Amino acid sequence: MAALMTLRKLGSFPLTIPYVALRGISTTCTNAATVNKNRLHVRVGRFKPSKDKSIALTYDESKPPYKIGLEKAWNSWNTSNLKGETRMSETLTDDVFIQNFLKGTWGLMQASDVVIKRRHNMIHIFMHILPKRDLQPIYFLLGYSEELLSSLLKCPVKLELQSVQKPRDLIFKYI
Amino acid sequence: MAASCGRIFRVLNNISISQTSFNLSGRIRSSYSKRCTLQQINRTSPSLLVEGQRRCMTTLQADDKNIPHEHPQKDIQGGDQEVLKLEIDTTEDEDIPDVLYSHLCIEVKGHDIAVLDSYEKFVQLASKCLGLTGYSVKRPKYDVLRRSLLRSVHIFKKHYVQYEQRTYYRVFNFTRTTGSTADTFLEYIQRNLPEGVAMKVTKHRLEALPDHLKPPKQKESISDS
Repeated sequence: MAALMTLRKLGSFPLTIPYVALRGISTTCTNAATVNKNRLHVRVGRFKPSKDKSIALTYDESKPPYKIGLEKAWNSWNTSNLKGETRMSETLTDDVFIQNFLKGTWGLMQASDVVIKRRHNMIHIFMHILPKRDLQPIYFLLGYSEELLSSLLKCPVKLELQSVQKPRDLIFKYI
Repeated sequence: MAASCGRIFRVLNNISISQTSFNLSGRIRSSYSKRCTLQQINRTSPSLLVEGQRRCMTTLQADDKNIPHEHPQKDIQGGDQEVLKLEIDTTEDEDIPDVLYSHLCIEVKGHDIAVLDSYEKFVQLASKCLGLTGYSVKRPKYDVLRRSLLRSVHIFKKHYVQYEQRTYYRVFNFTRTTGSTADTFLEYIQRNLPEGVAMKVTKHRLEALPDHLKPPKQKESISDS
């Protein structure tokens, strides 16, 4: 979140494809000789350090994609990518839709990436928010998101929010 | 004044005793019914429930022997009989015979082997607590789906990077369970299934042999010989 904002400020072309890591994918080579090669030529999800260490990164943003499963977890938890399971593309599309919807509904109040967990027929969505002084709009947005997402995705949707007092609480690293 | 107060106290005491007896019987009933949903090997019979109530009532009566009974309608003996005559709600369970499973097979798959390891421990503990027999676990080898992509953005066709998707498996087997035990156990297991883990349950049910396949009865031949 923070890194993407600064990229826009610098004027470089921001990739607007939301961060969606396909569940279960990892690089094959894990032996010591080739483990360093995992990071070669990876351009996605990495940020160029600034001269004055002004770019703030959250923990998720600071870890590169090849560390998913090691030091970092997925944003979407589902069974669609297991062998013999169906609805791979539908689940992925739904996840992208949920991320876009919440970005549009919550906007700048959203402080972190959205974590989507599917249990049975329910979708649990976890998010950090920066609350404002007035809590009534937040309750309204919470109910609105849950209702609309439930009716659009045709299954129970639970949105679980955690508030963060300052944006600085989520910053892990400055580069 | 004091005598009337004493009488009121005794009346209240009798009422409270009967109330506590009712509560105890309620609790006994609930505990019996809970045990029966888990393992309906010994089916709830009214005689069992009444026996439990009677035992509790005898302990209460032992305490109350010192209090004289001034009001015959609040007699504990009468209360005892009232409690025993309460309706016991087991007729619904007794009508439907319980299903028997010879074999219960639960296959679980996931991307993360650590998650499956911890789920295996959980299933083992749960089966021990609920008294399921014949627990065995198999760990089949994982399945892999590998795809190669070019490592570099531009040229360098000789160099690739491989991405894979692994599916790990666990298979739990249980032998000889009743339907209600299996239902309770499976519900507990499934409620606590982690996200990202898929489950497939196979139940092997024991059925009576159909009438047209049963061997004919040979009573007459035996009696003749």
